[in-house]
Amino acid sequence: MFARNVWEATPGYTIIHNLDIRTKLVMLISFAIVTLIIDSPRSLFLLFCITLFLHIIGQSSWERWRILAIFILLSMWGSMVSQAIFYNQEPRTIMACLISPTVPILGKWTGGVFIYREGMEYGAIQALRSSIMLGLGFLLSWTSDPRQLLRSFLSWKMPYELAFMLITSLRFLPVIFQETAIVLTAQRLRGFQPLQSMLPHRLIQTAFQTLFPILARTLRRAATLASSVECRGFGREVHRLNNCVWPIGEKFLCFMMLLSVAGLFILKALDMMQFNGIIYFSTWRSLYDVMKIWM
Amino acid sequence: MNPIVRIRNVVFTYKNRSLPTLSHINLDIEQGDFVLLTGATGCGKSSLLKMLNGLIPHENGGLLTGEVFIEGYNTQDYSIAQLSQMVGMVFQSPDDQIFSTTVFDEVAFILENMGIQLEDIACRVHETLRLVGMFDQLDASVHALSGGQKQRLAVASVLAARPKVLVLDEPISQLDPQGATELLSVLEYINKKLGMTIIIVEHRLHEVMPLCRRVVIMDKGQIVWAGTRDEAFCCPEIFDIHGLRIPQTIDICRCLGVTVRSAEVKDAVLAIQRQYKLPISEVGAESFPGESLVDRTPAIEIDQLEFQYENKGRSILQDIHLAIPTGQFVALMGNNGAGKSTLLHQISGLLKPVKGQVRIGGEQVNGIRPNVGMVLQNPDFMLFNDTVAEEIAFTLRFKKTEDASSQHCQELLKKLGLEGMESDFPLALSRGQRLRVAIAAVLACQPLIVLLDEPTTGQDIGHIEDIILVLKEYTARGGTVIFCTHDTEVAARFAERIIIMCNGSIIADGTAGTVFRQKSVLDAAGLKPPAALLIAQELYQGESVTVKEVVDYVRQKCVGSNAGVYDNP
Repeated sequence: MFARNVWEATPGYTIIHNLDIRTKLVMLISFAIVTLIIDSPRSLFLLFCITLFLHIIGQSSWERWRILAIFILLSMWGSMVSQAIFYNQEPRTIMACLISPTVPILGKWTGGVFIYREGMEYGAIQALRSSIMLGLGFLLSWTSDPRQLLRSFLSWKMPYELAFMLITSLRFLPVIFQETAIVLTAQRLRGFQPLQSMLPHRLIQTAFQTLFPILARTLRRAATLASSVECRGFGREVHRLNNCVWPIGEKFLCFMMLLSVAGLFILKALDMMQFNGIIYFSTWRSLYDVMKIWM
Repeated sequence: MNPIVRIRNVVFTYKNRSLPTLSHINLDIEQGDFVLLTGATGCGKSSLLKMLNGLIPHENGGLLTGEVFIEGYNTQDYSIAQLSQMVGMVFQSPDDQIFSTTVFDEVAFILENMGIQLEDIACRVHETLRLVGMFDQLDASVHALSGGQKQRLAVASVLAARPKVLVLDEPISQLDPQGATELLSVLEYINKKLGMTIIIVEHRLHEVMPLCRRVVIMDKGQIVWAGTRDEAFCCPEIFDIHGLRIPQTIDICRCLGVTVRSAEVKDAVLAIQRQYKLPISEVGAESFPGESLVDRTPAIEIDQLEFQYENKGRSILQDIHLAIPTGQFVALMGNNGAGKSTLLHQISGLLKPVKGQVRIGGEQVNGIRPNVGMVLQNPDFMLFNDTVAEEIAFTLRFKKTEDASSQHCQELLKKLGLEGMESDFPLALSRGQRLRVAIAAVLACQPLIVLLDEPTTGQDIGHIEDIILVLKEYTARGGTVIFCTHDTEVAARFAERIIIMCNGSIIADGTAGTVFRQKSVLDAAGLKPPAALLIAQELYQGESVTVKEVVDYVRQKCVGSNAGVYDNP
């Protein structure tokens, strides 16, 4: 998991690799909006399956599937457990009691700690949302050349500094993972036991002691990379030719995706209006039924 | 003929510094020249290079007076992007400068920035990759390349623009001998074939000097010596004064009072033969140190050690049998991927064997042991305290065994030249100083065994000698040292025992003399024999591996006594 090459973008010849970065970015943005608009678990699950299917098409390696699984399971577990316990909307159905209100001190102080079914469901929906974005984010960074990504950002008029910062962070994320493992090893070799004391100030000091070497090294690397890129004619004042033509087919696909997102947005608005009794068309009942299930 | 690089009265002071980093620099470099720029760490070499492509002052800021001209163009009047078409720059670490995912994309990057059409780019990329011998890896992932290939790719990525001047900042310092040879051959080829001016900053003079035509030595921000390579060979004292490393061939000739204008072994041998009539070596005529060390108590014992990272993965270590006695100074050598670091990790207890066992002081290793200290290749990862003093006393304080200001720590600071830096932030020190802090931090705990993973990488000979002296003292007190290195000259000079690994196995084990004379072993491990050995073989069919041994032998045989012993300046 700490191996650098697992996190870095690798070249390939799959459809996903061959897609223009701008298409992938539009896809990512469209999915992000759709996951926010939609509340239906089955639609979100469908989107989640599509995300996994895209990883299959992109031929993600076994190690990458493992990383994806770890992150998704962790986010699902965290989200479902926290929502199951702390859900405060009504109605809510108690599934289990962790601390009874009759337990002295803790029970009376908290009013009881329960597991709520609705909270768990809500947590699952949130987890699906984050997993979709996580999966697509990983897919984009694993299949996209940082150089092309930088070009895409700049062709969309993103400020040079911001674009370069974004790419540098993406470029060095794998390195940071790898170097964190080395620093932890070095600390173990020197007899350092970071969790020996759980006092807050000790934990903060430990965090700084782990971060210092990684930050110092990353800053040096980033400075070298910036100099190297500038020495190869890349900079804010350079007006380069746009050699990377965005294929018409992909442009059309993006247009359709954005159009679909807009359509979904309108449908969601109509659904909310009918739900709140603002606008209702009886002839659209079948549409409302579909929206109830899928949105 | 107008020089392609003209530097006039340049003084440069970095932002937030009171003293100039470069002062009164005047230098002319002709078209097609191959210039070696050298000097001790921190003397301003890299700053001077950055001035040639405009990184100074355009990017780094600071105060610059004087003028730098490239082909007559003043660098202050042009942007870095414009200058990139005239001056290509390659940095020290290939991993830090590569930006793309494939070899083709990396080389195409500069051409795209120049606004060249797509079809012309492909053509130029192919041509450039042929020049650096990487055409076969056109579509390869950059992650699949070796260190040497990555550095050649870095050269190709600026070479594609066909700059007039190519500047390289310590490009071979992090490469193994094979990678360094590959890169230097490419530089020699493009210098001759394209007539490109090359300016290279490097500490490994013994490898670069045979290629260059001019040498420039810097010290404390000034140029203290400049001349042709032949002139440099004739006055090796200047290198000693500035703590620089000269080729062993020149060093031997200098010690024997022979003048030679080349670093080639055959030239040195001819020059020596003109002055000395040497008999062919008899068996046992040469004396080698370190042969009487076999009867000591074993500090490390390794039996049938096998290791692989994954169940059905490639075998990293295969059937390793080893016994290292207490107090021995061992050099572990081999090409990248031979298994050296993995073996060190096994000894330190960071990794567990798949088969066999490692014993330290007779006890089986089952995890990290406090009596084994390890210095990683990159010292930065080992420094996590606010001051040098805290860093050195860290483990001691952590173990509550000794106070931070103990006598031992103070001695270590002094011996490693870190006195006066006790309050400095370790990560803000120079690379050499950071390494010495990491070594001091490990030695402060007085472990039984110290493992060092390539401590000589990127260090000048002065720093290497400082470190080795401290480690030698430590072994004299009963400590055991194993260090990985690619540097056969350093290993031959300092190590009592050399272990050579190849593909996870030990292929040679013995003194420098016995190991380095096995050509097939060196070839398999991608190592170069020390030049001293080549001279000894040519000169008297001997097996001496250090400058001292060759000089002593020649003097003894020709002068009749060893009275005038070699004196390493």
